[in-house]
Amino acid sequence: MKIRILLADDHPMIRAGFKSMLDQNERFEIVGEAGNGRELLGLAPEVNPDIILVDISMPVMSGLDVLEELSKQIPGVRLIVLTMHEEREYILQALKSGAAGYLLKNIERFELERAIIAVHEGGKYFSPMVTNILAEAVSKPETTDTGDVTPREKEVLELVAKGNSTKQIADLLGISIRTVESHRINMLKKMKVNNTAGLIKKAIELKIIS
Amino acid sequence: MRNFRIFTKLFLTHSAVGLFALITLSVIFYNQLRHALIERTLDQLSSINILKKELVENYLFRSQQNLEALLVEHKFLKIYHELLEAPATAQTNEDIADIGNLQKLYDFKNLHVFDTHHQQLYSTDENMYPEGLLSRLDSAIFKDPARIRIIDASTHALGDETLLFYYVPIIEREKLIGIVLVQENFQKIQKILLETTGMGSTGESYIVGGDFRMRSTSRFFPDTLPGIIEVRTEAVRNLFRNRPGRGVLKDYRGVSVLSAYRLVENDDLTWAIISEIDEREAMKPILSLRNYLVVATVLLILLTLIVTYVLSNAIVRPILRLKEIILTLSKGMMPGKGSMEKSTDEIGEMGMAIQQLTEGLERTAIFANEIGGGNFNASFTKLSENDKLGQSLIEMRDELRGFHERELKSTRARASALLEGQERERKRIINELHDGVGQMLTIIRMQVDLLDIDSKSKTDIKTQINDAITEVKRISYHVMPQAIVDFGLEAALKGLCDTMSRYSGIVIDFRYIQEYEHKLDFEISISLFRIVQEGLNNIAKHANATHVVLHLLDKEDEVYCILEDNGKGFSATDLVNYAGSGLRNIRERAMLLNGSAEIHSDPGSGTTIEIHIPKQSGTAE
Repeated sequence: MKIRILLADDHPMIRAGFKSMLDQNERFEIVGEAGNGRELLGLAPEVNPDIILVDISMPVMSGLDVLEELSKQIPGVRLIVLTMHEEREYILQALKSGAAGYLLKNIERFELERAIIAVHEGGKYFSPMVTNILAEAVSKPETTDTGDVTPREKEVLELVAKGNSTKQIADLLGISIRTVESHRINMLKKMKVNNTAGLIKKAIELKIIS
Repeated sequence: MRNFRIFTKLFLTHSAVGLFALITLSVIFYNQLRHALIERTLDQLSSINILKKELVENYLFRSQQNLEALLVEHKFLKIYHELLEAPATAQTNEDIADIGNLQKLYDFKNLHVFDTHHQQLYSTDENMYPEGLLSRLDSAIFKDPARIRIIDASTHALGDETLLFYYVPIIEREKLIGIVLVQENFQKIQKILLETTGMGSTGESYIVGGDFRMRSTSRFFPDTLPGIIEVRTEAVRNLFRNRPGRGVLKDYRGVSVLSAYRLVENDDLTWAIISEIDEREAMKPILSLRNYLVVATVLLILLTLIVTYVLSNAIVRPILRLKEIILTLSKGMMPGKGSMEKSTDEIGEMGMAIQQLTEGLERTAIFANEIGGGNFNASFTKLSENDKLGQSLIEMRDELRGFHERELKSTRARASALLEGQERERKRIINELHDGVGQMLTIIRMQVDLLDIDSKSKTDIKTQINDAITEVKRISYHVMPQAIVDFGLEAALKGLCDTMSRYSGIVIDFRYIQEYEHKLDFEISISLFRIVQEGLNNIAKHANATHVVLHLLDKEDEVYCILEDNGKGFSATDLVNYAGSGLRNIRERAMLLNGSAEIHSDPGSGTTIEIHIPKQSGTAE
């Protein structure tokens, strides 16, 4: 049984290149080609492929935009992103949207074949460069220098809780706006919250302020 | 002296009123007093006059009585007979000797005895009677020869002496047989008159005969014989018309005198007795009063001068002060806050009005100044409903504000259109690069596989193509990261930090806090991205730092960004010389979004850049 592949890329020559690359392996069968995201959405249910190789940068609808929709439309379809982008946001976004593989377009033929087979068998596959970036993202979690809230930070926090603006707090404590904001950012970090409301709530929970 | 005119006016009016009052009062007072004084002096003179008259009359009467008595005794008859009988022995005859005794006893001057033929029988002094006296006497006594009478013979005198005789008839058996002429010693009458007690230094009483000649010696001309002095005065004329009286008139010297005059009551004499005192002396008390008045007038003028000076000063000083203020205003300057007159009179009110004017002008000037300085939010309350200047200024302010806002808007619009165009162009370029060139290279790379060459060459070519692709990606990332378009600022900055860390080894503490869920405006995003990019480039190039803090706080009202390094920092001079353009770009970017960028640095203590970008920045679309 051949692995049915749908190829989506806005560049016909790229499609042609990958098609000829994949045609060399008898296990693969190109069942369709799409020039953009919308075409892909229209075509995919018709051809019902096992694997969809999809580029990110495409006119009308980008690859990232269609990933989730495709997963819904065709249960069991495996999605592999094949792109020029190597920034972590694209990789993470693609993974979130259900991509099982993330490959850069300068991939070698044997590696592409290996990736398709791995994904088809239920695994995941990433280009070595992508793996590096992912590893960085995981191994370098947001630096969280937790520690005790300093008296000055507590002072700032109390004034924030009373509804004072940064400018007012700076004037009241006789320090610069920059220092106040630093204190605030440090506390947001320490409390692992994202905004002032959360900060105050957490501070009250922890009985730092009343 | 500039206030001379007001001073003069006040002085003249004050003096005029003062002097008029003083002079009027003085004249009335003076006249009343003078009148009273004249009346009193005249009363006094009158009584002296009466007294003198009576003394003279009494004296004459007494002398006549004495002679009468002698006549009754037939003394003169005896003497007459003795003289007729023995003229030669007259000197030794007892009766004749009595004549001399009589003369001495009664103090007569001379005694002459005549017969009816005017033959002198005896005389104590032969020559002491005037020529023709006896013939005149005859015609006078024709009617009643037996009566003793007084004869004023001065007119017949050889000299101008006063000659007064008593005519004493010698009667025997009712027939006139002889005459005795007794020459009165006029000095005795003169003595009565010369008694000038209470008459001061110019008062006198004198007698004038019917020939308008003086009889008594004048007090003023003691050495002049009285007959020489003619007294044809109003008093004498009145008297000889039988009108006694008193008054102020000219005396024989032509001097103005107070005079009381009467006729001596005697059947035989036409004598006027006149008592006079110089008006000048009589009026002496009034003269001193007049001096007092003159002194008082002078003092009053002085007082007026002083009062006027003080008063005019009091009036003129505030007026001059006001004038100064108005002059200052007219030169377009603001007068200093001098102490204005606080009085409540008209000048005080004027001062208040001018102060109000000054304050109004000052307020207007400050307002105009504010507008001139570009403060179009300055507010102004019009000085009054119809304050044209104020209204015009307010309109000018509003128009300028509108103009300024439009100008600002259009400047921003142009700048941001420029930036937007730039960003759009960049987007297009990275599209071309990334998707165009990049993809082409990818295609070429794929086609290398199809070439019939050895695998080593293939790998070499593909490596070179990979390098080219990487370079294209690097370039396009710098032109504009695709991530900011697709994922926003945080992702773009994260990527930027990752890249920076990877290539430079600087540890970056990146923290992006969004206080509420939203998508940050692309314009702000791209600007902040450029700012941070510029800042990080500066740090990488110049700072020699090992740690960088990049914190962004995306709040509801603004985005706050702080970029801090632990590098070598720079001085203000360095800022101008080296780091200038990059930091200036940062500032300009921030200001285009109505934000601000503060850069703090000191050599050795790193650099901190703080950026505030307000939300709802009101930028032109």
